[in-house]
Amino acid sequence: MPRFVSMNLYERYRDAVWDLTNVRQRYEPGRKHRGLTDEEIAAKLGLTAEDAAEIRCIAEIEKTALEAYLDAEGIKEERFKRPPGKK
Amino acid sequence: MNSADAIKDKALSMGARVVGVASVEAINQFAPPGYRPDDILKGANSVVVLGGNEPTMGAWRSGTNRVLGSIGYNRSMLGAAARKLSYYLEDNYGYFAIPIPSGNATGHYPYISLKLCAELAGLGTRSMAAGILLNPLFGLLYFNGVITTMPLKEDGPLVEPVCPHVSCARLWEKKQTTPCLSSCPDCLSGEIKDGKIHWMEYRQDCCFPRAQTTAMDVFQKLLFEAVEEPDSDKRKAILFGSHFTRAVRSVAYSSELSAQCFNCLKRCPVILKRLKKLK
Repeated sequence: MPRFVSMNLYERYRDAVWDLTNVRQRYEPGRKHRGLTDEEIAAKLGLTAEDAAEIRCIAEIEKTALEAYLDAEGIKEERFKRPPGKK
Repeated sequence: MNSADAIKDKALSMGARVVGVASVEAINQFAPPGYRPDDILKGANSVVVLGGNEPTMGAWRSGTNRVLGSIGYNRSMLGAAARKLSYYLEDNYGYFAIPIPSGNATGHYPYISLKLCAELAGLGTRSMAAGILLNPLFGLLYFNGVITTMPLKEDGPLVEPVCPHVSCARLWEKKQTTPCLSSCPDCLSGEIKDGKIHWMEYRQDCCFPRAQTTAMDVFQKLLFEAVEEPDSDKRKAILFGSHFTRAVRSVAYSSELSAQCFNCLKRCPVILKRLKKLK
């Protein structure tokens, strides 16, 4: 069963963990790019894998602002109407 | 007919639109430890990948993004086909088989990358649109599949990339953009060089609130917002308001949980070419 991570530990490692996840994905044919697993993040930052996973899970929800969800429908509908090739 | 072909025919009869086989050995060259088929089923040799469940062509022509988002995708169809195919493999061939767990293992991380499995099963190639696999016949597809200990002849990845379409390569030459990149400059960036994808970057954190506008994360965020809100009237406005209500219904009915955006692919010529065949 996962432990609740302390907010002290979370805040200390949140950004470092976040930067190592697959939140930004890059594709270049012929080259390997991928975010790290919790085990790999833990090894890199000196955390346990359980703590790395908990920190990642909280950050995944916290890092995206609530407003981004509340505004999403309007943005999508506006873009839905836009013809291709227009910026 | 060899076993792999017979199994593919069976999967098509169970509801898949396309079927391919990837070897576990090939997948393990890319998937990290913990996210490999043989981490989920000991002794796994093959993954039979089922593709389908894409929006109907009519759905792409729906009048609003909200309608497309609500009917464009459903989790149950391919999952049911994968389960039926697993029983079929065990009953008829005598090998262990499991449907691929299609939920998330922890947070946003899956048990296994269905995209990688599908790519190595020859069901599509990565696109400028967030690396989403595009199938040469159907364009956008969703995936599920079966992990089995049965050794099967693998299909391997497609040789010719599906993306960019020739019209996108031409548009890039003129305007340094493509329909997908211009549809969502927040989530997507990339470059085409000599008519091929040179690089593509995708911001999942930007895409998430668009693709999962009323799914689990926003349910948790709004609940937290309400719990933290000291004013009773404001709490009521949050919890009884339209966004939380939609999120609750999405979670309760397993509907509108993912794939609610579609904007990056709405003008994709690989998909649109199928529209021309319909009246």
